Amino acid sequence: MKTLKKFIPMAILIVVGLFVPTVLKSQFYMQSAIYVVIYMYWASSWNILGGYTGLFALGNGVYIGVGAYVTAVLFVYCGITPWIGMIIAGLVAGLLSVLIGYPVFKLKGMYYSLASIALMSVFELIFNNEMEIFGVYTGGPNGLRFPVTGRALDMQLSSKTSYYYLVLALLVIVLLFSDYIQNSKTGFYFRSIRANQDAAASLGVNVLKYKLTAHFISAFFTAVGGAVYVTTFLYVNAKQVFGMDLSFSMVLFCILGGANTLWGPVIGALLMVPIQQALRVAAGVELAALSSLIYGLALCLVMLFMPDGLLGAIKKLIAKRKTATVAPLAAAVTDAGQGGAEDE
Amino acid sequence: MLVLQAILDGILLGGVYSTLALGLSIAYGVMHIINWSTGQTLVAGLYIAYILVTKHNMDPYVTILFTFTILGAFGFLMQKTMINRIIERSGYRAGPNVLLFTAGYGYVVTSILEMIFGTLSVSATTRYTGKSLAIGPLYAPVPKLISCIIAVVATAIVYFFMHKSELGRAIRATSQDRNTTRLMGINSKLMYCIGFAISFALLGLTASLLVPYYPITPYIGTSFSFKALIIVVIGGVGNVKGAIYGGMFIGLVEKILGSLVSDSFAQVMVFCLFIIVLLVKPEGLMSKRTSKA
Repeated sequence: MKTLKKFIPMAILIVVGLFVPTVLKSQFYMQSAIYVVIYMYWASSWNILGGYTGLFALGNGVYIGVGAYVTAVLFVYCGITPWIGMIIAGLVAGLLSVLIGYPVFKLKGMYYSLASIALMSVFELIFNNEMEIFGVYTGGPNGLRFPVTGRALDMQLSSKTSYYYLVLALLVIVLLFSDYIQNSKTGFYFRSIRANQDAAASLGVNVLKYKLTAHFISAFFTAVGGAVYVTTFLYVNAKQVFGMDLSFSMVLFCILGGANTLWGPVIGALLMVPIQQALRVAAGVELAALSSLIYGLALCLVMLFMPDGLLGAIKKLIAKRKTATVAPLAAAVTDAGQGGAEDE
Repeated sequence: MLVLQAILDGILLGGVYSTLALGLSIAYGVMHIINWSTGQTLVAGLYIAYILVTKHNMDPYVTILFTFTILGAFGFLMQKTMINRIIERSGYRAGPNVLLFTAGYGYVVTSILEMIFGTLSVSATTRYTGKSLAIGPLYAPVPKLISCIIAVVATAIVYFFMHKSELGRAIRATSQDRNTTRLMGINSKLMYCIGFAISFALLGLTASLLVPYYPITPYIGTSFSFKALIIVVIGGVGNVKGAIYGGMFIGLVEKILGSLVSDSFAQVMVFCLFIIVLLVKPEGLMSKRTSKA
């Protein structure tokens, strides 16, 4: 019964997701829907690293960029279809994340976040300023165009709707995987690292190994998303994929919905992306700032009033209801002890 | 000669970088939180100074009085009403949560500035603009020279304040061990507010120093935020001397590499240096060897 209950939200997501294109007729709405789903996907990928494992990476956009560029270069110069390219891109990004993670995990807390942002900025600067990287022409600020073949074999799908189904499939995969991780032994190791790294190490958890594992998984999924993202545009440039906004967005959506929960990232992106898209259209060019104003305000308000995100706040409310009727003291205790034990 | 001129430029730039980084460093050092809106706050200060200079014909260096006070008061209120609350409620996630909060606040500031002032770059023409002083074969633009001198004096004042005054000592004590200082009768929340106020006030000061020669758009904040973070980490967190050395160091690296190779190469090198320092000596190049938990 319990496993069945767990699959109800997933079933709702899939059914609603499949019916969205029949309601949204125009190309613009489909493009917005693609944005919504891909951000859900990225936020969920970040959640594995930032939510479950508690590694507050702020530069995960770097893997979107690496995934995008690897796929693009493989397709443009070697003719390897993005279907295979995205897997290779994911593995390259994963490998990179391990190479980066190995020294960086010596750093604790905020230093780790800083290093991750700095790294992304280095990639952005290099890809934006250099016309060639390792002798491969990547176009610098001009970016790199995919040759148009129009074949589904090259992931060049005929309509926005097909791309939408593709990213929806990716989202379902990452959610199923997150769910699996959450309840696996690895997931418990991840959470033990988040709760108290030193205590976990003293109990025999190989902290470095599991941090690197989380890093690899998160980077892999993020990069695959990056590969599909640029294939929908048939174009990639550095500002588009390495930007700070992209990295911050996935963190924001995840935390807004509730980090460390399966559905938090999905809810966060579902709330924020349509608002942004709608504002961008409604406000026009002269009020483009309005969308980033709302974005910033949302960030501030969530941090002020719901540091555990929407789902976290709801959970806390339910817990309070339950305990308040029994004994007010118990509620005070759960409030005080929310530090490490609030999950699940 | 090119190199000598680059060194001079680097020092003049580095002086202003020091006060910029000091603003971030004090907030980080005292509360162990990162103010991600450093650059955006600076830009807000730049616009305040710009209005005072162009609309009220004020001398750019007199605007320091206003930018310093306005932003200082704002920082105090922000810490008192909002950030203290976040720190209390977030537990072990206080650092990331405050960072995201200030990032959100940064977006708000940028978009409000964009709505008011538009996206075009403006610059204030002052009586110092375009004048330069010849020192032998080298040229030092007058506004940069004055700004650098004021920055160095201000940094010195902050140093003495933090190390010699009772209040400064209390702030530093709070940064070392919050709970013990509370037992000693120090109001740690108030110290947080004062620390954050000083940090914002210094950003206001930096804004007034930049206004005579720096073109302003709402978007220049991010690069300043990064600069400040890099300088703080390289110099050592919460360390006044570190901010000076770090600021000078980054100023010199930028100008020397910029004139010898290219500006973009200099920027990449600055980031690489930052990552190397983070990995090799995360407590900062200038800090003494202290074991920190």
